[in-house]
Amino acid sequence: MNHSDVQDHMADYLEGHLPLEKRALFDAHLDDCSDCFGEIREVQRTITLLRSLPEPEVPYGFAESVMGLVREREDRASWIDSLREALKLLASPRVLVPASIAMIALGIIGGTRQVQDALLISASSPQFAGQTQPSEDSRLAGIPAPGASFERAPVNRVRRNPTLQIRFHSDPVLANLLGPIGVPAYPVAELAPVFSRQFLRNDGQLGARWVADGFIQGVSPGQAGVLRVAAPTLGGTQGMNAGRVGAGNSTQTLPLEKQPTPDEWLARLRRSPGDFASLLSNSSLAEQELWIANLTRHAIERGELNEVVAALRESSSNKANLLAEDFAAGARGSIADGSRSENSRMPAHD
Amino acid sequence: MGFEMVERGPIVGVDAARPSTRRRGVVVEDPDTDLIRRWKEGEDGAFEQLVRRHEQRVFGLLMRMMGSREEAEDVAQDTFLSLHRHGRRFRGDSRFSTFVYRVAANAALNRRRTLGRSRARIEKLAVRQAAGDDLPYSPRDPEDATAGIELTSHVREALQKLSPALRMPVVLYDIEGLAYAEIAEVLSIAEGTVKSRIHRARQALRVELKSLLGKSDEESSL
Repeated sequence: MNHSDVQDHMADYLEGHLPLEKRALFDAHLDDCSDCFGEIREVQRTITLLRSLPEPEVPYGFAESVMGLVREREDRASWIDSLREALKLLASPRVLVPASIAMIALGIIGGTRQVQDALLISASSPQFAGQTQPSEDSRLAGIPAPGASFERAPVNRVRRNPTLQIRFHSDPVLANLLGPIGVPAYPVAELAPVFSRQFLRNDGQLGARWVADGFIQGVSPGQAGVLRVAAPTLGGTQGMNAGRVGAGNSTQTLPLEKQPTPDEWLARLRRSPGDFASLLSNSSLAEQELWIANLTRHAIERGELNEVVAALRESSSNKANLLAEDFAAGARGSIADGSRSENSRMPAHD
Repeated sequence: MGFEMVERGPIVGVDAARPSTRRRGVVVEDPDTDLIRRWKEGEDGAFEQLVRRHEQRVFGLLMRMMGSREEAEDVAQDTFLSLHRHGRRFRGDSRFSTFVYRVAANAALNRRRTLGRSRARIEKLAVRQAAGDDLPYSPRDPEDATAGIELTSHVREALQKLSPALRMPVVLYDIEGLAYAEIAEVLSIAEGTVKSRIHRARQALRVELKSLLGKSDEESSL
């Protein structure tokens, strides 16, 4: 037995799994080799140290907090189920046909080109971000995270204010048919700074659902302009049951500030990493995550990731240094997502 | 020649040291079977009992992996939420505890450290400190508090210096006491890979903790 054999069989030796004959050879080598003897002794003590670590105490009330989160999610799921049921009703011919007529008419009133130009963007799309300003902090309104924001919205608030789901589609009939199912939700209250409460007509789920299928004339990121929101309104909350659709529509016009493009944000980050990190740290956790994911991806596409990470790391700002690691981790995540590494899978018990 | 035997775990014989329900890859009995069945049948409280039963092992593993109490708590929550979402699909091909470890390991390895979470951790820490609960570990014996904390922090730091790919197997084996086969299942890697990673991790830790090893020897000989 030589040094290499000792390395190969060390674990088995320490656990007493070596056959008697091999163990005797192993012992004989250790008797003659002080290096291997010292090494194996140190490994043994290392293991002893590892096992001497005190058992961490589970945080007080941990199980209760988990169950609280579980119940929140169940509540939310049941709400989505009820929404899905309601949408099935909305998609029924007695409602869909008159609704579609009204929506097409709306497109004509609002300008055919506007409807055609309306974007097919789900609320989870980063492009969505450039069009609205859900955050009070307009400087960071570039890339909000509607879906993730929903996560932090207390369920009871969602229940009081029906969740608004926005879907953009060039075809009003399709938009109505496809509905907002599966699109990350965005609480009404979160959009209040963008759309007036009057427009959102928070008088029950019905109004909110119709708003959900409203059209928003797209304003691309980086483009200054006017956000026009138009949606058909029902002739009262009983309208759906009666199969009637009100003739009116609501239009809300909001000025939008010019939103920086991702390139401009990257340039700004590299110019003043500390200021950028400070600005980002004032936004919500969900917004931060989406920002990091989007800008990381954009930096990779532009081949600028190394420069961005270097700028953040070299900054004297602690927040920027932390952000550098987030970008680096985000880059690894992007690569891992592409290859679907083993560890990213859920246990395959199905 | 003789070596001192460590107090617990695989080094004195994996199977003998741990009350494993598994022998030679055959599941003999899973203590969670009844709870899982009741949970799948929709019984209120069954999942909560599962959380209580496994919170210690999940939190322990994640504490070693994440290195921070706040982050471990976050990931532990993610783990149990993920279990709640996907756990009903568990078919009993392995022990439920192995499944739990697997979900926790995935959650830990997939965890992205973000600025936002850093901020959340700071906020949680502030709350804990205000409540007088700011120590990451509580030494069991107050007499050993100073030495214990110092030693503990060195070992924890050394663990954190390992890459997650090496840290996870050594934590699962040397601290949590899982068998090679279980770790292979938890991490979806070959058993041979598990062994080699544990070996490499121990060697890296040995180098990192060299200054403490003599001290440990003195303490253990007392």
